[in-house]
Amino acid sequence: MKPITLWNAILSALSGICLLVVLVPVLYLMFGSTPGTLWETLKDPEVLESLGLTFFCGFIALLLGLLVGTPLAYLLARSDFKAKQFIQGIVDVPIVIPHPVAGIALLLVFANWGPGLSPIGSWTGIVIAMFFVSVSLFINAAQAGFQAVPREMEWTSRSLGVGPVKTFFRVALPLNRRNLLAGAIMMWARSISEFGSIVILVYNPKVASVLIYDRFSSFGLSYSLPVAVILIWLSVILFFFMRTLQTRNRPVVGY
Amino acid sequence: MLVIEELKKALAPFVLEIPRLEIQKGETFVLLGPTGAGKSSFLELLAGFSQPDEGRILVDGSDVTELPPDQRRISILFQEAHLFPHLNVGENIGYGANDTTLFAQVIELLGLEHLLSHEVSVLSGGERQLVALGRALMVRPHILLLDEPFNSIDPQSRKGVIEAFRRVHREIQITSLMVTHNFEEGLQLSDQLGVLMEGKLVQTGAPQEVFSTPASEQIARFLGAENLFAGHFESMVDSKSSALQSPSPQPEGYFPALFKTDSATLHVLADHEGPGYALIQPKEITLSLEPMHSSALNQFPGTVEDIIHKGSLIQLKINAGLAFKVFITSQSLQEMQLVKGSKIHLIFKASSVKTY
Amino acid sequence: MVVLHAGSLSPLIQEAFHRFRQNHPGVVLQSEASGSLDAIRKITELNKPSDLVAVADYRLMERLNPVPRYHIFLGNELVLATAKKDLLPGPPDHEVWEENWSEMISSGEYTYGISDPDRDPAGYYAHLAWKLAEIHYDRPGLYQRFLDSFDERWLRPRSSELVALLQSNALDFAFLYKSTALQNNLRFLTFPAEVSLAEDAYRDLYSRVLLQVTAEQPGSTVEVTGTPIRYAIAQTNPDNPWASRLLEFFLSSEVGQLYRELGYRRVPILEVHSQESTP
Repeated sequence: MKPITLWNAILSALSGICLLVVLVPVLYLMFGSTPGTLWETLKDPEVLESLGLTFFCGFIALLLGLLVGTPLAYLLARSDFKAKQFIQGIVDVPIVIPHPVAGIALLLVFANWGPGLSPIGSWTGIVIAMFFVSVSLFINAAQAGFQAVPREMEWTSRSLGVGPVKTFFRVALPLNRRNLLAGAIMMWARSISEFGSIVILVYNPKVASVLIYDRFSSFGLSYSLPVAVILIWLSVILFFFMRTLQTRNRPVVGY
Repeated sequence: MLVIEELKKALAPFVLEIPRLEIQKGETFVLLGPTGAGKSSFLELLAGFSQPDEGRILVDGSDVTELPPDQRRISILFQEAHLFPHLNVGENIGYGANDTTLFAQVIELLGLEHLLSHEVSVLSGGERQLVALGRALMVRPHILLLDEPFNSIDPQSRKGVIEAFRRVHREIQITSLMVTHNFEEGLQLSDQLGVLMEGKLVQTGAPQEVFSTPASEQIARFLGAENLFAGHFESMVDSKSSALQSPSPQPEGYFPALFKTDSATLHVLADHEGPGYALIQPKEITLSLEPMHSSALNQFPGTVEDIIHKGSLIQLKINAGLAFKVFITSQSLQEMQLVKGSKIHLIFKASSVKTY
Repeated sequence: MVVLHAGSLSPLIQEAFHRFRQNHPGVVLQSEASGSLDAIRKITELNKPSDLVAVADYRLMERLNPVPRYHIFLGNELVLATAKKDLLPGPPDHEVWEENWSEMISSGEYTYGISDPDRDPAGYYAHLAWKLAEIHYDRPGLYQRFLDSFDERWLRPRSSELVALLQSNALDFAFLYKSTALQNNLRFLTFPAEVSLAEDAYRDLYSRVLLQVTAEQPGSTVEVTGTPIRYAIAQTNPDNPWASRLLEFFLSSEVGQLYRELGYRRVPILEVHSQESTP
């Protein structure tokens, strides 16, 4: 058996503390309610609607992110132009903005849209808020992935007579699958968990985080806890499911 | 056929400038140069991954300078094969084109049948380059560019891969331009040779010309090919003398041979008969004032023609039929009391002669 | 000290704090604004520690256990507010609105918001005002038309949040307290006393309408009848002498002068002991 050095012990102890701080609250919450209560809560139409809305909007936000975020990530990875640093900065801005501030900003932008068109108070507003706060995560992951594919590989494809569009779809994109998926998971997870910007822009209909907070601040722990437990279980399960999908892809290494 | 006219590109810290270069159809042109001379940048310009500041590139008469890489009919092989990891060997080779007949030909020519369904991750360095070559051949390029393709292949496999390239060159006469810093590869593969230093094409010509008459001291130092001679090989295998005189084990594929030039004949180990080159590194040559009894098969009397002091070593130019360069210490120089005109014997083993 | 209070009192609380601190530096004062029902629940359900509580409906004090001694100290009335100047003209064109606001708003032609009746008295006051309007203008079905035309997206837990929506032009109108409208420079329409829940004199009229709102626990409801809008304040921490001092300060004439300045309705201060029936 390997001798345990003091260094190893220190590393393990500190790491253990870190893990515990994250794990203990999650575990407490996961097992914080009885199955009976959970079942009752699941049958509550307000809860079901809220969960459905949350995951649906998160998914739409993700699709939007894939559609417009992938090209941006590719451009940032492959091109070199003067404004590149600046654009890179813009992409990272939503990460540093406090969430309610983002909500207020979005409120100002959409305030004057006429009735019927206004995203305020409708699921479209939720999607926009989710997109705003989470797309940076996706772009950063996708960009890193594209950069990891050596440009000579795309060059090789070009020199074999394959044009830039086909090269993107046949080489760049497939080789980046893993990072794109990881980025998508992060973006989706971030969307689902968003509160501060959504609650300002769209109070009704309520996404899960708004519902939980609303129930908590009005009626207390007993009314809000079961919903929180359900949400954390759903998130954990879906998260692990996506991660197993991810590891089954072939690893990308240049040859 | 590839023609390059007035090509200029500013690369920090120098300017790549090629006033004119012509590579005939089916010819292999090897561009030698030290690292940083601009070789890779030059290939990138030809392939279309960067744009020159000035100049034109013509492929079989058409100007491709403004065309994107996928329309130039120029394919490039890099030092790393860059096989697509998400495709297997067969899919890689067939990536650019769908021609099943050509596919079969290429596979056979490169000996890749047994690898077709393999994942690229299990291939050796040499196998990867062969697959890359096959992949390029499939699109029938008019020009093939090679950027130090043998660099990342382990020495044992390298020979086989180089041989495969030569085979391909014989069967399919593709106009090729290869850059390398390894002069041995230059010797083995080139029809024409060029030397690129700091962005300028400082010498071109037939390989032997360039090596034996480097245009400048700088080139000579880079080429570093001292004692390189052109001649032809004759096998000695069925001669009685050979059995007695090869005490050292012979490398695979090599046989005792005579290397004949106009002015001298050397005992060597060769891997083929016919024309070729012989190279003896100065350190392999022993000097002696008197003829020596030694197992070395090559002993020549010669005359010291020049003595050049190079730091702590002394370079002697000795005429022994062939012009040899040998290095000795100043101590030995004094001990042997060598001056211009001194008579001296050169001794070296057959096995220390590199043959190409 | 912690003061839990109705959101509509925020400007008053802030100004009173400021003055109290000037007289008593070193005292730490914290305020928490919310809908009044939420404020009560914080005490009853969440056991939130506090020293004073001030709500926009004096009857909410009855929900505390035990019911403390409280003071009715402030009044208000309901108005229709907007930030879009062109929507609500000044007099004399005003008259059109005065006559027809109930039809025009309930038709859904404009977007309008209220606060959540389950969380904020301003929300149920709005519903009660709609019901009173149906009676006063003799327009049967008017209340239902309001219910049908109201878009849930414009519901907020606190009336102060509606102000943000008005100011950003996202919302055309909101039913708010007059004090809120004045404090935020909003243009507003006053209702007749029969509708606005302002006057003690119309107490009986107001009590003719009622609404079900959520009680302590979701699922259970409690009935709320119409009443003049009267705010109450109580000390929730009997052991803290500073809390008493702060309460006295709130009831003092110095603060009393602020009421009208800030747009509230000044009413005679009435002390209510738990066993007495409310007037």
